[in-house]
Amino acid sequence: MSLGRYRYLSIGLRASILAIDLCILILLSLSLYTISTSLMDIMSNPNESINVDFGFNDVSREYFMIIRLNVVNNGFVDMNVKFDASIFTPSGVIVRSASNSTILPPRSSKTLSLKFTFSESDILNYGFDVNPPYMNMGLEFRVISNLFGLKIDVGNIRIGGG
Amino acid sequence: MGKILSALIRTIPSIIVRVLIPIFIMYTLPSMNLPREVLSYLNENLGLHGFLYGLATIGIVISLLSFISGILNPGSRGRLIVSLFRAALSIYFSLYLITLGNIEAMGKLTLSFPFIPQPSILVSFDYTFIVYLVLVAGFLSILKCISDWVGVKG
Repeated sequence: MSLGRYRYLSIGLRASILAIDLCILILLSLSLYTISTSLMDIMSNPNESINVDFGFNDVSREYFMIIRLNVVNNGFVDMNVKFDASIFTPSGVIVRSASNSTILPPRSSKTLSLKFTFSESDILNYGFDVNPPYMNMGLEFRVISNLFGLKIDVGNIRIGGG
Repeated sequence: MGKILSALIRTIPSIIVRVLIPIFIMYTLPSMNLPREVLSYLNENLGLHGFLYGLATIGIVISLLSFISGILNPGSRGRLIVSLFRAALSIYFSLYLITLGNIEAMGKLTLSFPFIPQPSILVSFDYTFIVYLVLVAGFLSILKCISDWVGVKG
C-alpha cells in the first residue's frame, strides 16, 4: 500500500472514532433527556400520576386493588415502559401481578394499570387483617430500541395497617 | 530539546483532562458545601474518592506514555509499542470512567436511593451499548496506531 493510502486510512479511522464518540454523546443525551422528563413528571405530580384504588366487589365477594400509573413521554424518542408489582403476604406467599408494558411515542401519554384480587378466604388465609402485606413495585424505562434502560424498584411498601 | 518541548506540549491536554480534572474534583469536593450525608453516600456507594484517585493514576500513566511516544522516533518499534500500550490504557481509562469504576458490570449499575429507609428504592441503569461503543472506538484507535506506524515507516 502506498503512503498516501495509509494517510487516508489514518484520517478515516480518526473520523470513525470521532463519529462513535459523537454517537455516544447523542444517544446518551437523547436517552437521559427522554427518561428524565417522564420521571420528573411522575415525581412532580405523584398524586395525579399514581392512583391506587382499594375496594370490595359485592357480587364476586372479592377485594381488589388497582394501581394506575400515568406516564408521559415529553422526549424525542419512543419509550418502552414496563410496570409490575408483587405483594408479599406475612405467610411468605408472593402474589404477582401480570406486568404491564407499553410503547410511548414522543409527546404522548398512557395509563398503565395493575390489578390484584383477593377472595375473602385469601384475606383470612394470608392473615392480612392481622399483618398487613408488603408490596414491591418495579418501573422500567427503555429507549432507543431498548438500548438504554433505567429501572426503579420500590420495595417494602406497607399496604394498610396502623 | 525541540522534540522534548513538542512532546510536552502534545501531552498537556492529556494531563489537564485525565489528571488535573480528577484531582481538582477530588480536592474541591469537600469544600463544595455538599451535605455530609451526600458525600458519605457517594463514597460508600460509588467509592468516589477511590474512583477519582484511580482516574488520576491511569491518567498519569497515559500522559507519561504520550510523552515518551512523542520523544521516540516515528516509525521506530519502540514508538509502536508505547503507542499500543497508550491506546490500550486509554480504552481502560474510558471504560473506567463510563462504568464509574465498575468495569466488570459492563454498564449495568444499581444504586440504592439515599436518605429514605422505608420503602427501599433501587435505581438500575443499563447502558451496555455505550460500553460496547467505547470498546469499538478503542479498537479503532489501536488500528490507527498501527496504520500510523506503518505509514511513517513506509
